[in-house]
Amino acid sequence: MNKPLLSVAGLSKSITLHILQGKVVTPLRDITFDLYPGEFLGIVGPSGAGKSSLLKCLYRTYVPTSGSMRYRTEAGEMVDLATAEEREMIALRRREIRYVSQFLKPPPRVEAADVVAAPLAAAGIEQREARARADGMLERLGLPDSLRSSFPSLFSGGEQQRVNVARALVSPPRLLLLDEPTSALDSENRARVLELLLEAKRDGVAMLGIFHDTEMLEHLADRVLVVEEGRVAREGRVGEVEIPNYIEAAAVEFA
Amino acid sequence: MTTVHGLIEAREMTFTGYSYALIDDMAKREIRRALLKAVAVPGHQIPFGSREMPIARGWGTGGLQVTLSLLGPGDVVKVIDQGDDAGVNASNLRRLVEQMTGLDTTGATSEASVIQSRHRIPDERLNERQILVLQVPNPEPLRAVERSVAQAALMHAEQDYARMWLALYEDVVRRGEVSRGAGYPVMVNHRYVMTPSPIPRWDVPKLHQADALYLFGAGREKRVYAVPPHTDVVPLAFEDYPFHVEHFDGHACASCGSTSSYLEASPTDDGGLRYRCSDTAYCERVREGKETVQW
Amino acid sequence: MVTATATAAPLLSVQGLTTIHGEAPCAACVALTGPEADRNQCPECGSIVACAGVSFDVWPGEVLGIVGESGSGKSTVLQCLYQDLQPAVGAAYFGGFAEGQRSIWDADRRERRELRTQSIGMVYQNPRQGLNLMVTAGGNIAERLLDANWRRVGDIREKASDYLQRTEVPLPRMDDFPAFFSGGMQQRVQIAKALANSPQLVLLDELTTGLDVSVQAGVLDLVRDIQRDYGLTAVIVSHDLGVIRLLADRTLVMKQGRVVESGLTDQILEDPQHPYTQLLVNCAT
Repeated sequence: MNKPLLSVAGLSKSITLHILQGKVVTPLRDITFDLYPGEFLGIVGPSGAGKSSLLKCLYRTYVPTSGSMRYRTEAGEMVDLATAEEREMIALRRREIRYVSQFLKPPPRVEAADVVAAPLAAAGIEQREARARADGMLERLGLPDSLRSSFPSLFSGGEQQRVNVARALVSPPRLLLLDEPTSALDSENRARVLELLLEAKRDGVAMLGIFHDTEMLEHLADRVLVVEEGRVAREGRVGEVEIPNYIEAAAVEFA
Repeated sequence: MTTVHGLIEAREMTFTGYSYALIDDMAKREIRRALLKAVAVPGHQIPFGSREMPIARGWGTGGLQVTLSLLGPGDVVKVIDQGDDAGVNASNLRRLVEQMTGLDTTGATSEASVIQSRHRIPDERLNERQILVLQVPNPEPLRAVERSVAQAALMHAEQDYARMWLALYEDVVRRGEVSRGAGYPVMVNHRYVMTPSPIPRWDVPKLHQADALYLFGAGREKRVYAVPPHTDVVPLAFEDYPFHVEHFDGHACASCGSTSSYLEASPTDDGGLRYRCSDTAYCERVREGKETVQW
Repeated sequence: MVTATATAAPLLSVQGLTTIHGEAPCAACVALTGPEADRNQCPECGSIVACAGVSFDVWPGEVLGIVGESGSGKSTVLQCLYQDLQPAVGAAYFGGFAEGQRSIWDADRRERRELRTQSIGMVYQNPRQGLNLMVTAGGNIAERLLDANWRRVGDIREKASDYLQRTEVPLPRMDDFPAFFSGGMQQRVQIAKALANSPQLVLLDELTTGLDVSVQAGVLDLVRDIQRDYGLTAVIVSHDLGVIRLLADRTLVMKQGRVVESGLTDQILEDPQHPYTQLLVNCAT
């Protein structure tokens, strides 16, 4: 456990908006941190601070501008996610790295249980078994039986989020990126997701998570990274590092 | 003034001023060369410079040119049209051959050294001293699936017969069998798909591993091709829809009683059908009680 | 760096594919065309540079998308891969041909036919191009099987009905002519035909363009199911980013015959780098 699973060093991301006369925005500047197997790193910060951009860089939905994101694969090799070949990223996404976002659109016209079973099917697990395991996962997340064979594109936000979580955890990844996975859930369903995430953590899954809900962080996070204006402002253990209440702060600003 | 009497006299005249067998020597040489090529590449169509003949294109000019280019002293010629030695076309061609070569002609299959035929292979087995010349209206078996002659030639070159097979498949789907009767496509020497000219299916197996040489002449299309003796000739057929020849529901020839020859049905006055041998020479031989060599 | 987590060799490696249409292309054709010049017609000689310097790899089990507007050269790439067009310059090494040692564009005629009927399947935008409309639906599929020397009608029909069921063409229509099918159904038959003989690579050219929206969805779902069940390796060309988003793992963006950008599909859609891609993505959403 003493070797980091992921070492991010000097990670920056700039976006040149050619359609806006070449305007440049820089959501991330010089981010550095390590993440160990079984560790949960919470990411907090005001809206627009670059939290989601960080996760997208790690998933390579965004191409980093500079810096490195060295990841230790299951085979024990080091891969820089910033420069890894696309097909290597595809392979890692299939087997090791998973991403749950509040904005993730479920594929159209695919039954919920099949959406969840897809990573298992891709790993070569027989269809009936994959579907059974997917059903089990959705049951644990309290998704009614009737919904499992209908299309998530027709679901409520909360139901969609649970499908996304189920898909991410149906076969435990090694690195899990969570972007507000419980934002649309009630307390009962949040508790269900929490239980699954704690289980994954015990199984050694390393996680990076963005939660507005500090209660979730208190249960899950070993450390938090406070991101402001694209930089790491502070980092430390939960309870030791100061986490401003950004939502209230925003409300005050409006008032 | 030309009179009927004058025409008859002209016909009796000796044909001076013409080459032996009508075709001049250089043309004969060209046709024979094409035939040698055809024999060397069984089933492959060889172009040749088809000449004007004293009959119209489509009436057997290809077969006639092949026959005339082959003939020499000692040959005995038989000419048949759909099995019938007495057909108008056969009679005229025979008379032409006689007049241009002075050779003997015959109706007896076994006595002939060169047989020119249209739409039939005799029902008496041919031997290794015999050549059968078949008249061919359309030498290209791929014509139904490919209109372009150049494209069809490429398909032969590449042995690209998928579309030919597809046509047979579609036939099976629509009619429950390969319905093709006359001119059933065959694979020659495991290489070229060939049309055997519009002979009935009955005659197709006679091409396979035969003792005689088969030559095919298409005058209008300017092609010759050949099946040399002892060559594999296999009808195109699916394993589960095997090739079969015509059957005559147990009927026998009304004239000679044969049940082992190709029969043609003709309506009778009472509305029924009467079956008769299509090969008149064979029929006659059976009726005369002479021995026939079976295929 | 590539680790053992990924497959060792690409199934298809295209290098410097250039296709120029014109009587006498000049030396300046490629230099004077492209996205910077914003034209694909050479101002010197009038030749059309359909595509130039196009290079990419396709790995087994991967779906590569090619996106771009009409005239960007994306369909030309597919036509070259399916041997409908012979490129002026370039090489394509394909695992299913000469063990990847010779370019498919150096194949002789017979090898080309084998590539087209055995190793590569093509779905054209217009079913008229990929199907013989006056041959039965089953016969269209049978053609590829016959070419692979299938000689039992029973086996052929069993296999053809497998594919037709797979593509949701009602079996009673197997012996009907596709000329009398709807556009969506023709496209399904074409997909079934392309899959016959289990080719190693399938090329899909604008497969939903020209279909009703509801029919489009069915055809896309079909391709996605096949992708899931067979581990399809494919190159899919579309001007529709929705299609690309749904099906492609990786995507190339083409403009005026050149590849201006390539990347993971979600990256192309969310973090496009090239001005043209940014425009394309912003127009679509």
